[in-house]
Amino acid sequence: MLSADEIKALPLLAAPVTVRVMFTKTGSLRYISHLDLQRTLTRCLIRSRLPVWYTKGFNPHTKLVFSLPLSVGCESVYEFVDIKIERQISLADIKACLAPQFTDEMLILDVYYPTSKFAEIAYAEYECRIASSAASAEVARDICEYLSTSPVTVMKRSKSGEKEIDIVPLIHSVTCEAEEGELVLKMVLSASSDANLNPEYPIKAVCERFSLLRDESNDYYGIMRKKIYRGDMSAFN
Amino acid sequence: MKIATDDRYSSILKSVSKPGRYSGGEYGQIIKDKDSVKASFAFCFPDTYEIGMSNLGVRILYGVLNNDKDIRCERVYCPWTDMQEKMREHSIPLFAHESGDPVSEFDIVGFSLQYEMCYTNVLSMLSLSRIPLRSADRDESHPIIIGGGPCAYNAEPMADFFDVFNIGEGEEMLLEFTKMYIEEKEKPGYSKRKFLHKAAREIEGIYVPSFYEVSYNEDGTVEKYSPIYDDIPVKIKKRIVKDLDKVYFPENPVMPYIETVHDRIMLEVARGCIRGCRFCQAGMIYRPVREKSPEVLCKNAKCIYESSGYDEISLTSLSISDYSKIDELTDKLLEFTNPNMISLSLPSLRVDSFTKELMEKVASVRSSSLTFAPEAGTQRLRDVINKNVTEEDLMRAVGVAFEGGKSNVKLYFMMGLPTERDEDIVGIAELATHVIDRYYQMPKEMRKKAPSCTISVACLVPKPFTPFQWEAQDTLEELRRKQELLYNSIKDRRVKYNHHDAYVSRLEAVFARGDRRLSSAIALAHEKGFCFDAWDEYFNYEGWCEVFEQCGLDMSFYANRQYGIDEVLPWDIIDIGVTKEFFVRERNNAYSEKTTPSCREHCSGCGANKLGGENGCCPLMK
Repeated sequence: MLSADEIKALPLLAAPVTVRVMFTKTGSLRYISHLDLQRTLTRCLIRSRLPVWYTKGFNPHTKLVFSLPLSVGCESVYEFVDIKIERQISLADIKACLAPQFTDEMLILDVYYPTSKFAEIAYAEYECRIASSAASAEVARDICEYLSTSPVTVMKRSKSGEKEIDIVPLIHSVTCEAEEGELVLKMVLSASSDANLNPEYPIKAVCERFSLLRDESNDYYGIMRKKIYRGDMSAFN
Repeated sequence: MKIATDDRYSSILKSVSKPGRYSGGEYGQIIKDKDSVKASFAFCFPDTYEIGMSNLGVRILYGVLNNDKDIRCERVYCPWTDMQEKMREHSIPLFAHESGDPVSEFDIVGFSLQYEMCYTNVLSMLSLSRIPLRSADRDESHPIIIGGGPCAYNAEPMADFFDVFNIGEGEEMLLEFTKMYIEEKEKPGYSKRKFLHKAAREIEGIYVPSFYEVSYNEDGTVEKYSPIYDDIPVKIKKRIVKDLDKVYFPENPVMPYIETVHDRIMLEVARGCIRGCRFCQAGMIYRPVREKSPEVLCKNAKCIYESSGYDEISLTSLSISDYSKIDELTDKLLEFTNPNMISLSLPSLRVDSFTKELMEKVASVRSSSLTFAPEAGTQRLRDVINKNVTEEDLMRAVGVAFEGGKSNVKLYFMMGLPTERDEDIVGIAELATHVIDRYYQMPKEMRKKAPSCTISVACLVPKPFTPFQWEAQDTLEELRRKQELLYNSIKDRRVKYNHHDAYVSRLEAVFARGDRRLSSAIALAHEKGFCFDAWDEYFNYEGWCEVFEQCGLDMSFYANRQYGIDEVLPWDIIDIGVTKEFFVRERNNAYSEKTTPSCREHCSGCGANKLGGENGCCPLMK
């Protein structure tokens, strides 16, 4: 692992290079907001001593670009952030410097030079586990049918106010299996900048429609973002 | 099992504000194997996570305790009201952040008592932990409840709820206490009482309230405090760390994920204060003045920078510009802060030692705000309170600030000071106007923005261990009248004025100088659901009045009464080094409008030097 002095002595690049970090956001981190995550990663970068490019000007700061926002309460094993490095340093060294600054709930999965842009992101896959006394193979089938048949209307909150929309066109695919007292709902939802569906909407709609959360103490759910796709359904990376 | 990682609680956590407060899992947290330790310590901060995480004392003690291989120390914060409601509804007991374990399962539960208005939060946390509130109601199955921090110097209002207090600096004392517990609990015939008796006998600074009986006179004042054992101190001497350079310093802070009040590296530069402003409790209770050397501070700063990722360093002490090697320290720090784009901030700058050089260093990377504390509007009153700054000093200081590019200055004042007259209040407005005028004395090219001067006015709360500890606080009517007088005296719209809530100040005064009988008021307030009294949205003055009435207690007895010089004070049981004789002398000097020089200019024999200490300015100190 490179020391701080060794890093400072690395040759300066003609132009800063973008490096993509793929990481997880699980466990205790699920309630950390996007802004908190930004702040946390900035500090990880400072601790790592990596030669990160700073904006020039009165208030120099790092520039972090994230892939997709994640709603509070949702975990993820497929998160990305692009950082700008201004000195010549190998990917292996970057990973070695950065990894110790993370925790086991925020793990680095990969560090590489990106060939794609975040604008290409079209879909996100979520796995939702619903613990419910109402779980059964029949309900699982009905849920798939329900989420595939328009209209399923929800009140969607946005900056401009509330709007009633049909979420079915934003649901690319859905599978649902019943396991022991639990429903595993896998959904691929629209996740582009102009058509993004927060997984809480279909889940809430389903829980309401099928009365899945009747017993407050024993019925509950958890959401995990598993993967992100491009428009052609190829995995985004 | 932590609630933050259990899906069962996700709907609860998603329904409360800032669920990140309860997550834990932070980088830098210390998690130990429960089976490998001999004692568990739950460190409770009776306010929100954001405030608790910014507290340097908690950071230090968390580090000190965890540094011992036999101790597991975890953090606990007061859940916000919405979360408290959910916790009671769903029977979720108060938990520690690291393991998620219920607080009631820890061996020792410590509370840091930072200010009087957090007392109801302490009770909320105890009740959420399902621990009986009163020490007398607890048995061997309950943890030992210990309190420390600034309010412990007069913790009498909370005495009934605590098993023990540690008075003074906890770095060594708390460790000794916990280690003694580990040793004692293994012995046959162990009981909490026996252990506390041994601690009270052998560890300096340990105060067990139940070992002292209090009797009162007919007029309501304290008659005496009588120890029930003859082998425990009659007066508990506070504990100090003699050499700040050698004391354990935690170099790996727990890094919060969410935004906290102080998101920066806090470097404690010195303890105690040489100035002796007569209203100031902190300056007295942290005496004798002791400094940390620049070498050690730089080392500390670099270590924390490397393990935290903060991009700002704040030098903290009661009067930073009085630090004897301030130039050397700032120069050394700038050697590494400048190239790493870390900004350096120096809060609480004294007017008379604020220089251009100092300001330039601070402004070198990013700017920080400039605040001065003249405290009183006229020289006469400043002399009474021994705030030895003149109007000239203030103008010179703001001149340096303005010429350095600042256009906003904040000034702190107090009202309700002894011997105060209306002209002193009007003097505040005049001083603010002179500050604005000073701005315009600069050449036009230097004036980039319109200037503003914000005056923030607090109400004097007479505090124990100050020369003003006997003073009567102004009545609410008088405080309100003065606030209005000041408001009407401000004619310049570039002067912004805000004042502290006089109602809160009144309650602070009651608890600051209170005795044990106030515990019934705190308990009743808790029963009625009072919590987060330091927060505007929850403070309920009428509610508190009712509480006091129902308990048969008179707030005026504590807040508005002139205490007798010969009276036995509830805090007489604590020895902070500085003597009562000194406070009496200083009080007389105040009324004679005579100033007292700083410790460096001339020793006034306050008595703190008898506690020892190194790297300070007391006579006979190394």
